[in-house]
Amino acid sequence: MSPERAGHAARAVDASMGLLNDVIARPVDPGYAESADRARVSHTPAERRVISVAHLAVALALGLMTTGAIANLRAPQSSVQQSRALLAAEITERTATAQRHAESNAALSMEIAQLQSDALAAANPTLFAQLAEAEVLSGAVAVGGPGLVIELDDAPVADPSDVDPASRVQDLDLQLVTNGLWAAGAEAIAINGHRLTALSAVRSASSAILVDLSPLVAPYRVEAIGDVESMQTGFARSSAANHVALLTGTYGISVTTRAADKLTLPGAGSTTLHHAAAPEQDVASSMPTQKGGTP
Amino acid sequence: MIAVIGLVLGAILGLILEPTVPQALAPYLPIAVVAALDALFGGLRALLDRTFDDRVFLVSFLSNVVVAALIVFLGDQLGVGTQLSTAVVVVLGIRIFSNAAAIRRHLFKA
Repeated sequence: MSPERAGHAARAVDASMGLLNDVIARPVDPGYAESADRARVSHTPAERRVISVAHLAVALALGLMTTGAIANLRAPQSSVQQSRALLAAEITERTATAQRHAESNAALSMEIAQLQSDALAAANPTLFAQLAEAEVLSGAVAVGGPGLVIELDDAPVADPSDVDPASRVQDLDLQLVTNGLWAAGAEAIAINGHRLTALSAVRSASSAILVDLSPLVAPYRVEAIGDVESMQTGFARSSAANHVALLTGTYGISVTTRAADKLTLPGAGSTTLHHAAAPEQDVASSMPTQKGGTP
Repeated sequence: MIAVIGLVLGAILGLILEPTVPQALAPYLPIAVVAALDALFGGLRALLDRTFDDRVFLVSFLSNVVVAALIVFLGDQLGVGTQLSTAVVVVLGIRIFSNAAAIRRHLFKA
C-alpha cells in the first residue's frame, strides 16, 4: 500500500488494468497512509483546540447533510406529492377558467337570443316561432318543466386502491339510460347539468365519463323533461330498464328514479352556424339552418 | 476521533431536524450518499489499521461527496448522466466491498 507503484522499470503484465487494480487493491484512501508517515507536527494546545473545533464543525455538517440526504431519499413521495399538488392546482385553475368561459358563453348566447328575438319577432313572427321551437328542440336554450330524475352512483368500494371498473358507472350505462329516456318520450335531457343535444356525445376517457368533452363526477344525475307518467312507463318497458336492473343486481351500482315537478335544464350554449343563405325577397322561405336545428 | 463524534452528532441532529434538501440537488443525493458510505468504510478501515486521521477522514468524506455529485452533474449536462452514475456506483461499490472485506479480516481474523 505504499506509493511506489508508478514509473518502475519492471512493468506489470496487467499495466493496462492499472485503474481497476487501483480500485480493487487500494481501496483505502492513500491519504491515511501518507498522514501516518508524515512527521507529526506538534501543535500548541490553542491550535489543537481550533483544529478540533473545525473538525467537529465540518463533521457535524457532513453528518447532518448525509442523514438529511438519506431522509430525503427515503421519502421520495414529497416530490411526487409536490407535482401532484401542482397538477391539482392547475386543474382547479383551468376548471375555474373553463367555468368562467362557460358563464360568459351563456351570457353571450342570452344576448344573442335577445337580439334575435328583437330583430325577428316584429319582422317575421312565424319565422321567430319556428326558430324558438327549433331552439327548444335542439337544446340551444334552457327549458323547464316536470320530468324524471334518474341518479346513478358507483358501487361503494371498500379499498380505494383496488376498484373493479365494472362496479363503476360506465359511459355505456349512461348512453343506454339516456337513449331509453329519449325513446320513452323525453323532450330534453341533461346529465349533471350538461344538456344533451343531437350532437352530444357520452363517452369515456379511461375511467372518467365525458359529456361533450367535459368530465363528470359521480353521482350521475340524468334529468329528463317530458310527460312524467308516459316516460316512467315507457322507460320501465325499455331495454334500458333491464340494463339498470342488471347494474343494480350484479354490480351494486345504485340507481334511483323519481319524478320531479319542476326541473330546469340549462341550454347547451352557443350554437355554431353551419349553413347560411342570403335571404330572398321572402324572408320566410330561406330560414337559416342552425346547428342541431333539425335533429 | 472528534470527527467521528461530530459525524454521529450531526447524524442524530439530522434525524431530529429532518432538513429538507433543495429540489435542485435531488438528483445528486443517491450518489452523494454512496460516496459518503465509501468514505465511512474507508475511515473505519483506517481506524482498524491505526492510521485514522480526522483531517484526512473529513477531507476524503467531503471531496468524495462533492466529486461524486460533480460527476453526476457533468454526466447530466453531457447526456450520459445515468451511465456515469452507474460508473460511480460500480467503482464506489467495489471500494466499499473490499474495504468491508478488510474490516472483516481485521475484526474476525478470517
